[in-house]
Amino acid sequence: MAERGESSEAVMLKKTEEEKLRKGKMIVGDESKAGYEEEGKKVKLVTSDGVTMEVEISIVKEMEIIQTFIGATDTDDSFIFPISNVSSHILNQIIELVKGEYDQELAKKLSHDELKEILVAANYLNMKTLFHFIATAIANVIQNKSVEFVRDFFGIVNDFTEEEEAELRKTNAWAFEGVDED
Amino acid sequence: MEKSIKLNLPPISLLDLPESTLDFILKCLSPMDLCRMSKVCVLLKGKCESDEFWENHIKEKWGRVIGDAVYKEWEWHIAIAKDGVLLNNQHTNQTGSMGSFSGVWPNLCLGSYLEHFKLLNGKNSNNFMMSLYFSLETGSFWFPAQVYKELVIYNALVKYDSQSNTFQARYQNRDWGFLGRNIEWDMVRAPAVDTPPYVVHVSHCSHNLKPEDHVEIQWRPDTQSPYDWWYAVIGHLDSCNQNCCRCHYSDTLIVEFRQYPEESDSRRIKLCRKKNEEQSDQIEGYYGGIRKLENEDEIETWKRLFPLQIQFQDDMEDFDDVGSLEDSVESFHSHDDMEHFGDVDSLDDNVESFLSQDDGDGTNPSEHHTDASQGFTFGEVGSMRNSNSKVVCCHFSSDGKLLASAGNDKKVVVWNMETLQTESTAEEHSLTVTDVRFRPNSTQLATSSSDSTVRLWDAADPLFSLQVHIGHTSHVASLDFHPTKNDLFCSCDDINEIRFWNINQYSSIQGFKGGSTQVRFQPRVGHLLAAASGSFVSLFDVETCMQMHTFQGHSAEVHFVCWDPNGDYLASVSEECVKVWSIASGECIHELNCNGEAFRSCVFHPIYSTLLVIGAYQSLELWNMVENKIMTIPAHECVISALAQSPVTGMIASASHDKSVKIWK
Repeated sequence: MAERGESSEAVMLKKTEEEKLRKGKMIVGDESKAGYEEEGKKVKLVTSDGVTMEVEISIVKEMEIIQTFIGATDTDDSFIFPISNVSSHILNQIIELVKGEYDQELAKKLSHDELKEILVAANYLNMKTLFHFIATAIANVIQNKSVEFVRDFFGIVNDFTEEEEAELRKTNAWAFEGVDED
Repeated sequence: MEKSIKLNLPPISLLDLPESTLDFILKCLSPMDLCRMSKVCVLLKGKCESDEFWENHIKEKWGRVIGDAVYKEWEWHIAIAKDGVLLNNQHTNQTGSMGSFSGVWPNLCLGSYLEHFKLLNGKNSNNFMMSLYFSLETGSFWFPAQVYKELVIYNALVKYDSQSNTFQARYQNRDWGFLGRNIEWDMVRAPAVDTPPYVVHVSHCSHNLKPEDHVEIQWRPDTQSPYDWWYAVIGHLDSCNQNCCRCHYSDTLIVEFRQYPEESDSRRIKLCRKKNEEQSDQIEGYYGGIRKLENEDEIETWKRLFPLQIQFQDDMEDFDDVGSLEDSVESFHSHDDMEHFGDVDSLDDNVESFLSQDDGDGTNPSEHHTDASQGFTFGEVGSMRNSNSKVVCCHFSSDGKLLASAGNDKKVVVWNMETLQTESTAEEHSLTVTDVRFRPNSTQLATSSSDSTVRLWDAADPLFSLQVHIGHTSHVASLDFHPTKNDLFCSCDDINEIRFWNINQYSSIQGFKGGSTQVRFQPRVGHLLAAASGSFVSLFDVETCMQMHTFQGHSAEVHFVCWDPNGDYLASVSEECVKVWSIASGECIHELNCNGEAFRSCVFHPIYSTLLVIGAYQSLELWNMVENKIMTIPAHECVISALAQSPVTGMIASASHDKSVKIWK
């Protein structure tokens, strides 16, 4: 539960910044302002590890899977959405990434496991921008890496026969030159 | 609590994700990474080799230079691979595969060529896009594309060189000779229309063309050649009052090639607007279809690539003061009279003083007398052996004080005719120096070399070359300075390309085909350029670069050409004979067949204009053209590869493969 308190504080701290940002946007004209009030509003999400987190509506709006519920339901503060495929740790990472406006520097700090889990979560929550962002980050990670690294990274088992393997090495040998250290 | 949950999670496999997730990641990968991913597992192999992921890479990297024709050609090669025709043919050692042919015999055009057919072995032929990408990347596939060169765009077969990130191009005409190497991306484009090279492009635009429209027009020199495309601008009719222009209603279409000067005949041509077929003016060649450049980018590309050529007319405008050909013909007739050269004695005095220096070193005077002309003497007055290998060229400076010679030594030896001292230039050329020429009225000289460069030197300070001119794509065989406009020089290489250079510009200002052995400007006026190529000698108009005349008659390769000092006659040498041509009539007026050793070089005697000095194997032949008398003088131990003369001193120089240079008078 200590975990939860911490993250809520983080959310609170970020809130003022978020508001400034939104005000800035409003000058330009925020057309996405839907039929419900969103100023300062939060949505409660329950993660796979049972943590209830209050997430700002601006972030939840990117989660199209929840967006459909919000649109259909008369939301009030008491409403809680379960997101059973996403852990609180990963949800915090997602919040950071969205608030950080998808800075590639943030992605570089993520572990390989986190990258993969965020990708799975983004797919599940149907967050399109996040999904593209993280898929690109993964493509960057596997760039110029050996076949063994890629197998390990994605948890893929080599299912080629010996003959196929030998045949493969003969063709396009140049693709194996200058591979980075794993 | 959280940690325990993490441990319970099974490792995430990429393959468990929805297919679209995987596809998205694969689309982000480079060709090299895709290749590597295809080795990970069977499923990824199938995905990573599929056209879906390669099509984008092809478009991204090759889209600018490949068009529909390339895909069609690739289908052809794939089909051959699938039939297994080549692979099963045990009787040939053929490693490459020909693309499709278009046209009617003998005017057939090869669509493409795949050098290493093995590339399509096995299952690669199932992966259309990936195998195409590889064949392009590895430079195995000669694909059809268009190559910009000067103000022409050539239909060529092109292959990529990944090392230098440039292209090589071969030209369909001329037995697939090289059009160029190290061609930048900018200079290659996908064919703008899919009209084959031998077919007249059907113009849909000609009835709408109006002055100042930019076009590309098909042109070929003769009906046996494929078309290339020339950049041009539509002009106004002669009768046009430009305030109220009605040119676009006329049946006559004026096409202007603005690289030529205003007054040049080549600049403006008249075509019939309504004809959708080849039109010829007999002199300049054959014009096919027209393509209007609708797209501003295309026009800008021409302007960006060739700013110099498009402004060429400005550079050449003061070129018109060279006098007419007729004037020089008249002056020749007065020179023809031997009486005119009354001051031979004073020159003899010069020789006396020259000989009295008696420097010793290799100087071995021996006199040979000839009865070719009354009181005429001819003999060796000096010899120099300062080279370690064959000498192939020599030339006197305008004042006759310096003699330059060069050859396989890769450097130039400059011989001071007054002090008899020699000096050598640095060995900056990496291969044989093929020709050396002094800049008129200067101590500067230029060299051409097999290393494909031309260098400029100052004989007064020969330690470093002043300039290096790069542009030729093959061995440069010869060069020459223009006699009056001495910023201008030209050179030719062994793939028949002639280039004009301005000494103040590092890139060539004009290039065209027509000379591969030797180029020589007409002396005095410099109106014409003689260029030897194969068994032909062609005359080009220096102003327009148009071929004015071709002297045909030699049955073997022409090795050497030289002008008489007035520029009225041209002599050409092949192994079998020497021919002297009249510029005025275009006819061969004197001919001498070789009875002994092969002829190699020649020069007009600097004083007696009826005498031609011919360099053969070991001997010089003095030929009185009018009386057709010959005198043979033993001269060297090997082939006399080049001759030069100075009208100021009356000296003749001979350069030989026996490593020596000798002076005669």
